[in-house]
Amino acid sequence: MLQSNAGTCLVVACALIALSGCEQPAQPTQNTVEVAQAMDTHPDLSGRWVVGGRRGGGNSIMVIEPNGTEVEFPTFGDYQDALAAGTVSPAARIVGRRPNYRHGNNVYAERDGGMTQRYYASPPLYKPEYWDQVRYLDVNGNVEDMTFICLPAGVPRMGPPIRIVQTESDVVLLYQHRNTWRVVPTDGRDHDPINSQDQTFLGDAVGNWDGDTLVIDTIGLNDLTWLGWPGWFHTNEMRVEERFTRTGDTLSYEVTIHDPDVLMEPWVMDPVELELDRGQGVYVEDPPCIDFDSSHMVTRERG
Amino acid sequence: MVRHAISLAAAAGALLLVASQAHSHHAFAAEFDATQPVHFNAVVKRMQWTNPHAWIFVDVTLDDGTVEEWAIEAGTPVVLFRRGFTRESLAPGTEIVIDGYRAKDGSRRANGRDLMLADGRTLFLRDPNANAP
Repeated sequence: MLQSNAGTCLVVACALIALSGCEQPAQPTQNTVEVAQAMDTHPDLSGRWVVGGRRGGGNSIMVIEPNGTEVEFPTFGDYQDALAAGTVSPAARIVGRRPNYRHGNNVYAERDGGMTQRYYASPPLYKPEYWDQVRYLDVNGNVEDMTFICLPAGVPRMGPPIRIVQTESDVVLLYQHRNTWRVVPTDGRDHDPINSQDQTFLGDAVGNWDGDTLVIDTIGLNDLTWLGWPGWFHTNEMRVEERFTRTGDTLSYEVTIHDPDVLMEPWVMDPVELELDRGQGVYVEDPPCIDFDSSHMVTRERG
Repeated sequence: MVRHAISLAAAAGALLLVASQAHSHHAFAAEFDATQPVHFNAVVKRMQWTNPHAWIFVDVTLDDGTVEEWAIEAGTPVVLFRRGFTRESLAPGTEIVIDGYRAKDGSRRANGRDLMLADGRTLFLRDPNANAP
């Protein structure tokens, strides 16, 4: 794919020379060569990415072909294999995924969901003077967790992107959550001196390559968001380090939180493995969030 | 017709997906009572396509003829959309049967669990091995 892009650059360069009426032989410009070399040195992260992928959910899914034929697959991975093998149409629409909740109902679904929010191999280690605060926030999450009143989850809680578009000078990250996008420069620039002082949900991000790993460094974040469900707050001095490493059709997403004001040590979140999604389904809008529940909550129970 | 039925099936299946998102919203137990199941024969009035949950507003006719409006909490809109759910799926006037759990605060709200067509077809993709209470 990168070779193809580089080739396109050469074609465009040749076309421009031809249009200019220049009679010189169509040699690639120095810039074109540099771009081609730079692009060749880094893996291409572009593509649709899905969390869990082959192993995700443990649920069977049903798709319907454009001609109305229904096909059921035991796992998402089987569906992806069928797409790759051409035995199911890329235009097929996923119409159902079988839930595997305990007893198949919402009561256990939410309780189990709440419990899984605490399943971290290595939770963040807060300084002792903040343990009471974390506990308070956890117990009162229904009113303290700002996602409950529809504020964005922000970086990094909104998780990895669903699509990446990589150019020679930046990466565009697209998220389903609130139709969010980030354009992260990878041209070697430093943080913006003004934007990095803002207090936003996405912060000021710059990307650099560490070998074959794209490292995105983000500062300038607000302290309204959390790092996780169990009251894991952070300060507006937090620095988020995201590392994307592509190996074949999988993409490793690793996040380290640097917030020395409240954490004993940088927190390495559990890594997430994404899988290349070969589907070509149309992306849909994530509608606005309206808090329609808070005023009806009568207990502090969560999950 | 086939498409319509499938869309309804998808919608009903998605009713169960309340907690499937990375950042599920409220806690069921804080708002709804698992010990107060409700069962309605209802007519759809309108849908509300919002995060974190879509809502189905329905009219319920009581035995004495009184009509009450209830709000039924459904799944996440994106999940519903992905499954082919459209504005046609639960058009106003559609007769449905709702099973769910009533709000603890006594308001006319319920967390939807199952959605059925008026003819009795159960329209959700539940694991046949699940042992629902």
